[in-house]
Amino acid sequence: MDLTPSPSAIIYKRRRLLIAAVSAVLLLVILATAITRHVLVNRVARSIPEKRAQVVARAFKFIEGDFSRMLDDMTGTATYLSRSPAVVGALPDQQPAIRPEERDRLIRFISTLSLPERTAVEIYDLSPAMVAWKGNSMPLDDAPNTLRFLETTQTSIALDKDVRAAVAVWQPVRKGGKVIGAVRLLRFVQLRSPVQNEYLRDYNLASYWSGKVGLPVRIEFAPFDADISISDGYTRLLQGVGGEMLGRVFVQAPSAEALIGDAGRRAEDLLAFWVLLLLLWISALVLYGFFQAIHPPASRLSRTPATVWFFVWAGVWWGVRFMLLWWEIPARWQTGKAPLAPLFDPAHLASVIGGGLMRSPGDLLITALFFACFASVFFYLMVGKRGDSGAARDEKSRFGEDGRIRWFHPLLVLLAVGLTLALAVVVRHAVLDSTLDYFSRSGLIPPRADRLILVVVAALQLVMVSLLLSIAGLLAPVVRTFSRGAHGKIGLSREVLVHLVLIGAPSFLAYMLFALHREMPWPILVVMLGVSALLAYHRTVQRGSMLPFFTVRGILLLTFLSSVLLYPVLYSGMDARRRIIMLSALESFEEGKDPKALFAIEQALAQARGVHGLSELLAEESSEPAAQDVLDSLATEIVRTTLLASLGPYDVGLAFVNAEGKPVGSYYEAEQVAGRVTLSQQDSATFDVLRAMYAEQGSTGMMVEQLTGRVERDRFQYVGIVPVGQEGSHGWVMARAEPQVLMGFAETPFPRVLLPAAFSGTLQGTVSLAEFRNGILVRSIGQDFGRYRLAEDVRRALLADHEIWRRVDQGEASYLTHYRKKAAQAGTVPLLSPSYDTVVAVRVPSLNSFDHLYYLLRLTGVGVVLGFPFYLLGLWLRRRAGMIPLYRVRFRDKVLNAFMAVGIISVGAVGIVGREFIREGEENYVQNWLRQNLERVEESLALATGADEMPYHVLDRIQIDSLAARVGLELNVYRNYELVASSRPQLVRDRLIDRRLSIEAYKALYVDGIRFFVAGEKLGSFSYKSGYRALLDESGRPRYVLAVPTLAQQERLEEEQARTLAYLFGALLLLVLVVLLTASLLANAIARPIGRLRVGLLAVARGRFQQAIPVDSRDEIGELVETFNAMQQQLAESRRALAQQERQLAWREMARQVAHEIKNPLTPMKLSVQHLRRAFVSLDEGREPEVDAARKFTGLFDRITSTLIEQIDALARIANDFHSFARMPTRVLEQLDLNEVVTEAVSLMQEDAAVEIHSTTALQPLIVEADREEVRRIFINLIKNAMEAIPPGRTGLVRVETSPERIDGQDWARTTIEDNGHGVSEDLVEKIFQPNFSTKTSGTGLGLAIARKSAEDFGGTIGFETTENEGSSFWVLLPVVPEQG
Amino acid sequence: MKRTYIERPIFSSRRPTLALYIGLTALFVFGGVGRAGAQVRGEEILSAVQHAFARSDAAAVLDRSADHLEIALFGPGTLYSRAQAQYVLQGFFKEYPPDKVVFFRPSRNESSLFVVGAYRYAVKEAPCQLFFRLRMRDTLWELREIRIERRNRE
Repeated sequence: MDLTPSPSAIIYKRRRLLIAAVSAVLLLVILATAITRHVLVNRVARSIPEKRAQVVARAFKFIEGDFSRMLDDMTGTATYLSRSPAVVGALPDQQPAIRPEERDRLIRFISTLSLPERTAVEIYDLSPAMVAWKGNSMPLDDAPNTLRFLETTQTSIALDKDVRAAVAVWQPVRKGGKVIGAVRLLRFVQLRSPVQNEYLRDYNLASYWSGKVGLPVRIEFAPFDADISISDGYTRLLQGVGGEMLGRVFVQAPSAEALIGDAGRRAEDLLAFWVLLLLLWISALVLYGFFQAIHPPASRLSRTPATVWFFVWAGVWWGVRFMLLWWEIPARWQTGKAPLAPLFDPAHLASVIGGGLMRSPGDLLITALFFACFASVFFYLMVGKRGDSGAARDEKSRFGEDGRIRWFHPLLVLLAVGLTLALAVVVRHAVLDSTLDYFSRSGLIPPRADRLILVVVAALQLVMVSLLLSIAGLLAPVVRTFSRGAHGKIGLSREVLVHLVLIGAPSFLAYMLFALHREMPWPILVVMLGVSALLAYHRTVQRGSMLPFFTVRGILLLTFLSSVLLYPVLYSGMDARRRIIMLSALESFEEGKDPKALFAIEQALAQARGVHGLSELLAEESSEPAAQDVLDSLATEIVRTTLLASLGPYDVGLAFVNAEGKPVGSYYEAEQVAGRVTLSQQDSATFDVLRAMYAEQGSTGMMVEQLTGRVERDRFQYVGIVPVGQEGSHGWVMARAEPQVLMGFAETPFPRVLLPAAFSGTLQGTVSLAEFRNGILVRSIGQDFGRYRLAEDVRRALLADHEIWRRVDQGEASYLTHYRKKAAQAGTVPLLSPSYDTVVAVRVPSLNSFDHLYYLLRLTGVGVVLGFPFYLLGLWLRRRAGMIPLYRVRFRDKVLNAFMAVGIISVGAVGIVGREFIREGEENYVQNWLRQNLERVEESLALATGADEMPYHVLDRIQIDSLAARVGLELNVYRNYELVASSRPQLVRDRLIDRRLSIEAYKALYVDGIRFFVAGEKLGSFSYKSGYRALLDESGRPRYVLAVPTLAQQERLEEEQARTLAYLFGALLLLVLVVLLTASLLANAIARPIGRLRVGLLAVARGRFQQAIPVDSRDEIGELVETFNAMQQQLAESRRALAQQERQLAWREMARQVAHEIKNPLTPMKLSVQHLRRAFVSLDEGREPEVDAARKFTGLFDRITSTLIEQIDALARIANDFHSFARMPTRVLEQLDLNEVVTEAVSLMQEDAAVEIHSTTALQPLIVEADREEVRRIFINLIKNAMEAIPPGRTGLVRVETSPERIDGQDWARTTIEDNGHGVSEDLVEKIFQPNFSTKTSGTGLGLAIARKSAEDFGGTIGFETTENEGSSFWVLLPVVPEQG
Repeated sequence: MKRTYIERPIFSSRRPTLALYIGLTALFVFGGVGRAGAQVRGEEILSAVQHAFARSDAAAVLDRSADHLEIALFGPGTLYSRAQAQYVLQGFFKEYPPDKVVFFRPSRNESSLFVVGAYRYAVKEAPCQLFFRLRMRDTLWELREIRIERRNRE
């Protein structure tokens, strides 16, 4: 007995060992990491004080190092500047002042400097007076007041109230050892913004350090309020380069729990990595098992069916996904400042659906990748590999291929519909549960803040394609059944309709009853199911390859298809979100009373009343005028430290009123703060009203009321008072909050950049709101409500419905508008009266076709990028399949590729050039707009001038507010480089507008002598433009500089630019489509006649001359085809003549062969007859007794006649075979459907067959050109051989199948005759088609030779595969006749 | 050879198919039954929100919230959907685990309820300010805004 293991067993054993080893290693590593974590945590827990000290020391090390680097960097820059010739040369050695030409040169030099962010530089002479600058201004610090000033490098802290703080480095400028000036370099370390939004954020060095060291950090800059104490170990001094005390930094030590948690987390991160590897390893093993089951090799691991493997794998696979979510992988590795951290931030996108499968953009992408893998494997399970057999086919057969509807078929369709609905839900939530601006139109690539949209869109594209694959997998059994049940005929036959209704009825019922059209529009649903069904049909029925989908064209097609299907669903979500935002804005607008404002006023009043010594201050005010400043400061502090400051779009303020009712101190944060006298008068009037109400109501404590608005009566303000002392005996505190006029009728628009984040969110910039009373517009925000009267049809509609949605056309613009009827307030007329109604409305511009095209282009673009890895995968797969390198490239493909390349490059070039053109156009527009407006301002000044006055004289006496209001612009006025007036004083107070002219503008206007200049400006991260115009004095020098910023207009300008870009890109998408379509048509038009020519040449090469190629073009190719047809005709005639000769020769040869073959049986026949004759003669002669002789003769007669009959039969067989072999002259070529011929042959053979013949014919007709009888005989011969190959005792099975096949661009009809007989032994394989060869005793051995000759004569080929003792499969390939036209 | 299609039944088996249709009908009939919401006083919701905040239970905080609400966590406010808000709050609770949550006197008018509170978390010494706003919608109170601010902006 041989105990040596077989090779497959050895492989199996090795694989098991490998699997066990890797699994064991991973488990050991996990165990080791878990133990390490335990040890680490225990170690940290035992030494908390030491660890805490270490962590804090490490934090301080970083902080001190960073601060030191910052100082070194600043000192280096200051030193460089102090030594630069432009600076040294410009500053005078001694007083008096700097020479103008030197100063100009210095200005030019400084303006070219490139400074880091939040940095400013100033050049001083010895006065010290500033002579050049760059960057934002800051008040002087204490350094010039020190004794060592300009002796050496000095550092100090410059403070600008509590708004800004900067580290200042003073570097003396020396010439020949003598100090001639100084360079001050500023680095801002604290910037407080009045509002927080996407553009404006606070900046604090402490927050930066806190983020870096992971501990709370606080900085207190010098001078300090209290004594310095640094003994606690958690405080360090920040010292300057000369040892100056700049501040102190506090680091909050971590708690014991935090330290232990940190230590544990680090080990857990590593543990998570190993667990991830283990999970993926398990998943890979199960998947390996699945593939083994579906294509079992000899050394397969298990006999478990592939379906079971699949379900196990699916469980493991999705289990892995949820384990990753549970362990927060990879989000746990991407926190804080990690580059991919935004991907896993739920603040961008997060939804609870799916148990966290889309709890961040990154998780959505990972889930999409998991789904893509799952869908691919599922598709593979359901449709199998092309041309598969064995296990995969057995799996498929379970789903029924016999044309009958199974009970689960309607369920599969229902599941498919459910999947499309799941997609709708996912897409909708990806939009609704997100803060990303899907409506952004700032180019194909969204702005930085919304770049994650690309990730989300990529994930959704992946989900869409995966879904199509999954549905195709689900529908595959149905499609197979359908095609069988429909008898292979696609068309609206009665049977097809019955199948459709029975399979689709539950889905239709569900769709209708649950009103699912709200989630998924039926056209999209139908198209998705149709596309998936086609995919299933292509794969399962047609046995088509999937590889074409991995080519450039395939990916483009798939991407575009996916985008077209995805976009309506995505837009549905976008539309819903737009409506939510509109309703939210309307609610805020409609809400007359803002409880937040009420509370803020209460809070401010309570805080003010609690101020120690307020009574004395109020009493003191009467005698001490200086007390007013103290009260002003107090009011400022209270406003800024309470909720009043963060109320958003409110003008807020607080005033102290003395016992006599006179305002004695106040602070206001407002868009436009009136002068002190005006304010005082307004405060006084308001206070009188409130005081009277207070007395009337008999209030004792605090009172907050709504009063008529100051600016607009309909916009109420909230005002509250609280007495100081007994019943206001010492005075009162009054707080006020009044909604700002965001976009009023006669005021300049409010810049979006200054709106708090909640008001500047998505769409808010484009939202317009309005209130109508009795149909008349009484207030509005935004500019899109152009009509002052409510349309009659809207009023009538509102009588029936409380709220309505309308698409309103106004001029050329179209708007989506929502109208809502407000409930009547108590005491007013009845609600339903049309004469006394109040309607609030909100509207946004509608999206037009170009907008949709633009969004579609963005989806397609993302899909193309996403398709690149799949293209690479396709390259690998095609290479593996032997399709790369290409043996031959089709001419059509070459033409199509060339057209596509040219088209896409052209479109890309147009896009780039167009974008630049649009940007340049917008720049020019902004420049012209600014120029015209500044000229208008100057003209309006000129109109106000008196005799012998220059326009600048008017500025000396006019209020800038009135000028700004007159021209409807924001205005800033500079004298020399200092801001002297602004129509937005609040922005100046908040340091959002710098008090100093930018150096670029100064250089252009004062140094270069340019009258008009446009400079790019920044407010936080918000970019805008400012136009400057110099107002000249009598000497021709700029006396004032007028500046108009585009702060408020910038948003509209950007919107217009974005819209134009959207139109451009939308048009480009159309262009791409047109180019691709044209390329396809052109390529077909060029390649089709060439293809026909090729087919014609092939036909000629195979001896078929009957088919003339149609001529449908009048160009050179048409001439070529005509020439070819003529040549073919000539060849046919020559061929006929030649054939005649050949036939004669053949007949001669045949006659010779027949004679030769006949001679062989004739000789024994002659001998037998002679022998019989002799026997008969001897019988006559009577040499033997009569009885014996008769008996002998009878025996002889019988034997000899038998021999003669056998020989005659042999002769007949020989005659038949030769007759068949020489049938060429009688062959009748015709176009016939191979399916019919095969069916006839099978029917004929089935009649007296002992074995069962299974016949499967292709769905579509397979038209070949051949002799019907001859082809039928080929198949009869092959089927007969197959039946005869079944050994005795075995249940025979013969399968006959026809199918279309495409090889090298040529269509073929394939017929396969498969048996489970004894097969062909290896030594006979080479001889089987040879004439005169046979394994049977009865044949002539000409059957297969004749079959091959016939097949080859018809331009086809024949072949076989065989496995000894298992069976053979013979196949015949015949060329399909190309369709005409 | 069996090649006849017409004479065979279209369904391979009637029983499972019938069961499928019956099941689907039952699903249609009973599947749409939902639960009705109960009317709860605004103060009760605030109390529930306070307890949920103290327990770091983001889902419970949003149990009675509107579909979309504004949340500002030490910075600018943003309009989130309830689903997104749940994860945003979870992240906040993870980073700033609550130590003590206190609500003060609520301020209200006919359709809004506003309350301020204090939020003390493990590391920070000074408690942060909490602001909640509820709004009445169709006789139901809904949480519409959550704002957490540091007392003194750094």
